[in-house]
Amino acid sequence: MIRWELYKLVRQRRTLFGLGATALVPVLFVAALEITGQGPPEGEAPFATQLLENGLVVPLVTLAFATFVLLPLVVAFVAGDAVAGEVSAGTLKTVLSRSVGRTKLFLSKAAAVGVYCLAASAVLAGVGLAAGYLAGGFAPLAGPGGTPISVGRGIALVWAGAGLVSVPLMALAAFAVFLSVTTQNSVGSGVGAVVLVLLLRLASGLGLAGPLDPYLLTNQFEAWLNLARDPIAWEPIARSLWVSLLWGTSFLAAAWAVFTRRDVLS
Amino acid sequence: MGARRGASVLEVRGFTKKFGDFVAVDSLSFEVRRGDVYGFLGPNGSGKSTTIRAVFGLVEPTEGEIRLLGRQAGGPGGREGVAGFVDAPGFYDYLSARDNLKVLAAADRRKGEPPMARVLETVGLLGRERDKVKTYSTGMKQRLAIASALLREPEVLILDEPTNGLDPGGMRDVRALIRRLNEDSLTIFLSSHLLAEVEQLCNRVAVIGHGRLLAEGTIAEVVGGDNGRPGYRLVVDDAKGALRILEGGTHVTGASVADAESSDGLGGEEIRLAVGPEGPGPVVRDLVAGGVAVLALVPARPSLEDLFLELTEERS
Repeated sequence: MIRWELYKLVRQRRTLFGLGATALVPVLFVAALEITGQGPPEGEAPFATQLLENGLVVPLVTLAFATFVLLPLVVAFVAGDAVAGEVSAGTLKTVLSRSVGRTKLFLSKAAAVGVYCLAASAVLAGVGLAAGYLAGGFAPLAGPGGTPISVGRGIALVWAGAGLVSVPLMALAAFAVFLSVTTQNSVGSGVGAVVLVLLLRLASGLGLAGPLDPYLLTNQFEAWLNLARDPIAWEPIARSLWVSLLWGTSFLAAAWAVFTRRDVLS
Repeated sequence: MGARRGASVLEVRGFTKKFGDFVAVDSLSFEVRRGDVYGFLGPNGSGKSTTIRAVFGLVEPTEGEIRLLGRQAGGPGGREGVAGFVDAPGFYDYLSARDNLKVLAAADRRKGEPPMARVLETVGLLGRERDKVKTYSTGMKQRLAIASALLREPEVLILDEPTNGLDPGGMRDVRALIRRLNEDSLTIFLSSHLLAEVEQLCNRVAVIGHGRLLAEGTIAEVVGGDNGRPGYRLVVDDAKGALRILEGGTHVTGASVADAESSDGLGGEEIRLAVGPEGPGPVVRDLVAGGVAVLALVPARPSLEDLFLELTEERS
C-alpha cells in the first residue's frame, strides 16, 4: 500500500515540481554569488560572512533560509493534495470501495508525505553540498562563537541539520493533511499551511506568543544550528523534536479522526 | 461459490440517510438474490448513488441496516466478495490503465497476482493497458472501471449507471458484457435511469423516487401488479366528447388524450385509459350510447417507462 502511495507521489507533476524547485534554490544561490560577488549582509544568516570563501557554507545557509518559505511551501502543497486531490479526482471512493480500511489508507498516505518531507530536505542538502563544492571547494569553517568546524563535521552538520529540519516540516505537513481531509480542497490546504507558517512567524516576530514562543512550530526549524556549537547544545534540539512530534501527532490524529468517520460523497 | 441461486446476497433493511435536515433516502428496503441482474431505477437525485455509497461503506446509514453476503456493509470485511463503483469512476489519469489497476489491486485483500490480463481481455482493453487513462474515452474508462471491479473476482458486481455517457455502440458493448458476466454466475446490481436498459438486462427491479421505494419485484410484477393498472389505448372520432362522457361515468380510473395523433392510420384521436375492476366493456357501452364512434380499443401493456414516469411524477 505505502509502496503504491509513493509511486503515485513520484508520478505526479507537483511532487517533481516541488523537489525541482528545492534543488534549484542552492544552484541559483551559488549562481547569484558568482555573478554579484556579494553575499547576504552580515548578521542576516548564520555563517554568512564566510560565504564567499568557503563552499561548505552554501548548504548551511540555504538550509537556514529554506526553512522560512521554500520547504514549508513545497511540503504544504504536496501534503495538502494528499486527500483532497483524490477526492476531486474521484479516486478516493474508488479505492475505498475495495478491501482496504480507512486507517490503513490514511497511514499509508501520511507515511508517503513523511517520506516526501525527508526527500525535500535531503535534496536541499545534497544539491547544496554539490553546488557549494563546485563553486568554491570545502574548507574548515567557524561556527557560532568561533567554534572551529572541520570539513567532515561540516558535511555531517549539513545532513544532520536537514534531518532535524524535516521533523517540524513533517508536523507542518500533518497540518496540511488535516486541512486536506477537512476542506477537501487541495490548493486551499496548501495555502492554509503556508499561512499558518507566516502567522506563527509574525506572532513570534512581534513577541505575541509570550512564554509560549519556544513552543511555536515555526521556532523548531532553527534547532539544528545548536549542532554547530561546542559542546553541542542538546536541550533545544530535544525540545524541537518533542514539540514538533506533539504538533505533528495532534494534527495527524485530528485528520485521522475526520478521515475515518466522514462520509465519502464525491 | 457454492451458495445456491436465489439466496440473498444484498439485503437493505429500512435504510435511511439524512444530510442535516435533508432526507436523501427514506427507510428503503429491498433484497438482491444470487444470480439476479437487479435494476435499481430512479430519476437523477432520487437517492440511488447514496444507497450504493452506503453499500460500499462510504457513507454511514442514519438508520437501518445493509448486509452484503451476510456481513454488515461498511463493517470489517464488509466489502469482501463485492466489487463495483459509484458515480463516474475516478482514476489516476496521470498513470497508465495497468498502473491504475495495480494501485487498486494493492487496496485489495488477496493472495497471489491479480488476473490483470484476463480482466483486460474481458472488457476489451487488452493492448491499450499501457496508455495513460488521460487518453481514454468515457466508454473506455467505464470498461476500465468494470475491469478494476472484476480484478477482485467478486460474487456480486455493483455498477452505478454503467452506460452513462456512452455512445450507442459503447452502451451495447457494456450491456453485452453485463449479460456475459451474469451468465458466468455473477450477481449484478446496477443502477440506471435508462428504463429500456433495465427492461433489457434485469430480471428484478426496485424503483425509487425522492429516496423512497416506489415498487419492487420482477419486471412483470412491477409492471403488471398493483402498480401497473391495466391500461388501454382507445381510438375515437371525438376525443373531447369521449372524455366528457368518461369523466361523467364511474368505470374509468384515469383517462388522458395522447399527445401524438393515433399511429394506426384510423384517423381518430387516441386516449389512454385506465379502467376499473369491471373492465372496458361498460366504457364502450357508455361511449356508443353517448354518440361517440369507437374506432379501436387495444390493451396497452404499460412499459416500465410508463410505470416509472407514473410512479415518480405522482409523488413529486
